[in-house]
Amino acid sequence: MKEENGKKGHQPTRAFAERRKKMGFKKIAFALPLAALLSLPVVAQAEEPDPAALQGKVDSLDERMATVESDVSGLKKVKISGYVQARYEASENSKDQYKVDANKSVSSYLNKDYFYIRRGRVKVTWEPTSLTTFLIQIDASKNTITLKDAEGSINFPIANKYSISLKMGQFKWPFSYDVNRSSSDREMPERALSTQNLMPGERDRGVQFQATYKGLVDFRTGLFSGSGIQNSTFPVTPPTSKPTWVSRLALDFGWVSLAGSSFVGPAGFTLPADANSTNKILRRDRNRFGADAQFYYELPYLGGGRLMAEMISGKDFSQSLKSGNGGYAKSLGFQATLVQNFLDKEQFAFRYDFWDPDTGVDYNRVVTYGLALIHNFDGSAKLTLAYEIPKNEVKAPAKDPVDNKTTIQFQYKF
Amino acid sequence: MKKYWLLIPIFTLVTAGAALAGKAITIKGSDTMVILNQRWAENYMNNHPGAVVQVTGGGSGVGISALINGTTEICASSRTMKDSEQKKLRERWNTLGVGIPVAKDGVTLFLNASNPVSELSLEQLKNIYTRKVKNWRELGGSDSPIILYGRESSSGTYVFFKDTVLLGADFAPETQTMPGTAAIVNAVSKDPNGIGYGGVAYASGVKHLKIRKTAGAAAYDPTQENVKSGVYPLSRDLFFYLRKTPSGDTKKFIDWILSPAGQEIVTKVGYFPVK
Repeated sequence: MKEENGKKGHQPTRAFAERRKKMGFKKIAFALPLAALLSLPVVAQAEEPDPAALQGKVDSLDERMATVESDVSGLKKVKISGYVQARYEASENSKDQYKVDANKSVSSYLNKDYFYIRRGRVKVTWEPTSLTTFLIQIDASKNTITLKDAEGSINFPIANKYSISLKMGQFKWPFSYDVNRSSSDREMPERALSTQNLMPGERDRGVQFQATYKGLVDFRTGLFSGSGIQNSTFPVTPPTSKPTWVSRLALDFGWVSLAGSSFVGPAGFTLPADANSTNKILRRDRNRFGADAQFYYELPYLGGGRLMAEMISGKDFSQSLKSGNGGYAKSLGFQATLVQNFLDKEQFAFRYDFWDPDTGVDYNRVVTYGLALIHNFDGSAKLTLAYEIPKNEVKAPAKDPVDNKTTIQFQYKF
Repeated sequence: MKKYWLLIPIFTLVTAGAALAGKAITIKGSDTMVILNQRWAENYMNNHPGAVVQVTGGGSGVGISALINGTTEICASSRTMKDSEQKKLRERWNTLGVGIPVAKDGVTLFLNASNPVSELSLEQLKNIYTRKVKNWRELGGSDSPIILYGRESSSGTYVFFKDTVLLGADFAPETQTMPGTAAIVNAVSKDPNGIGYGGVAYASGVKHLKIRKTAGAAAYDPTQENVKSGVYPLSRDLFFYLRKTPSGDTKKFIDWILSPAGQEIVTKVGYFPVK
């Protein structure tokens, strides 16, 4: 044994050295997997997520999702809609001329060919529950912004067949099909002359009760100020406290709809009075009665079509009017419109529009023939080309003025 | 008028050009029918080179709105149109709509395979979905709460179930809204206490209930025989709605759907032929 460092030892044999070498390898070979085994839990723990932490994340996601769902659910109850009608109108009696008054100031322009925005409507509807509905609609056109509708309704559905609702605010009179039909759906550019003259503005302030039975019967009746929103003399408050009673009963059989309407109430007039005096309002009748019908059919290859007919009679008092009716003017209007689909998204419309502002007076009737071609690009955009021929009843030697009108309208809804 | 006469031929050219341009047949609406519509579209296009049929879902309500707006030619619907929808369609397009039944279905109630309850009446279903009954124990099942799964309000199946089973009453607020029948089936398959509803073609991997019309009546499975005879209380037609009587390429497509070849696909998907 060789002495190393003063210690007795022996020279290792080659075999021993080999064994030592193998032992070293074996130690390493044993140590490595052992080290790996021992390190596995550490590595596994680093990769394995903590269940408690995961649950916490899922719970927090659930809470955030619940908040988002609640917000979206609330937003879905508010609907914003509207439409814009951009027009070019041209009249055959348009002239590049102007008139002056006695002071030589411009009183009017005779040009009638121009572009303009006829209607720019924005409507916001909110239905917080199935019981209540709120709506506000404004019109931004012709450089003004006006309030069209502002109403709140309480709805009482009774089973699946009946419903009752109560509405208050500013909204359309429950009178006539032409009044209640949206201007965005109408084929002709404007309502019939009888509607424009007897129901100006189509809207008033009041309260309305409505009862429906399935889709078959629709009865509406309400009390209103009576003057409407377009009364130049009484734009906000009516002159008399007595309200106007307006009603409409409609029966809808699907292929045909029939309805009758009534408008009964006083108009208020002022008489010449002394300065600083309080005087009684003069009440006189202002009544309208109407009947309307719509017939629907389908032609092979062409598709659906509709024939609409409506009549309105009116009774109005005029302090300045001299007629055979003793101060009252009885008016009469009738319109019939035929609309026919053709091709895929095209429609053709023809309207006969008769208006007599005072049946007791001759030579004041107007009959207007209207033609319209409509192309629906999609559910939002529509192009209308309309041509209207007014025929005024005149006493010879006067002639019916040449005032035919062409209208090109592009409408988009949202 | 003289200076504007040119507008008429220009208008005609614009509209005629748009009308005559090649266009696809579009089908939009019912999620219940979307797989069936896709299979029809694939088969028809394979057998009719040049034909293009586009299919999207979204729910019957979405399809009907698209029909009214003019953005789809065919609306697939798993329910009949409401009066208010017909009136909007009539106001917009002068038509009440042309409804064509293209297949039959039985709205099926799905339960987890482990649920011992096997049949219920319409009244019991109504009580479940209006939360008058909240525990399976009250129906002969285990002592565990009933978990409700349903569809969104735009779904025709939702409306059909509300009208036919709930008789117009509202679904309980606890009803979990799922985007489609497949999602309902998936949820119920994993929830031992869940109940859901949907088209019979989706009843795979879950148990379905026998339904009785009244408490003392016989209970029926949603089989072809029971649905076609009408004894299954939740039988319904699946519809295509159009704005006018179909013509041209659209008529050829619908005629093919109603032919034996088209109706064979109905059976393969899991619904029942219309005749």
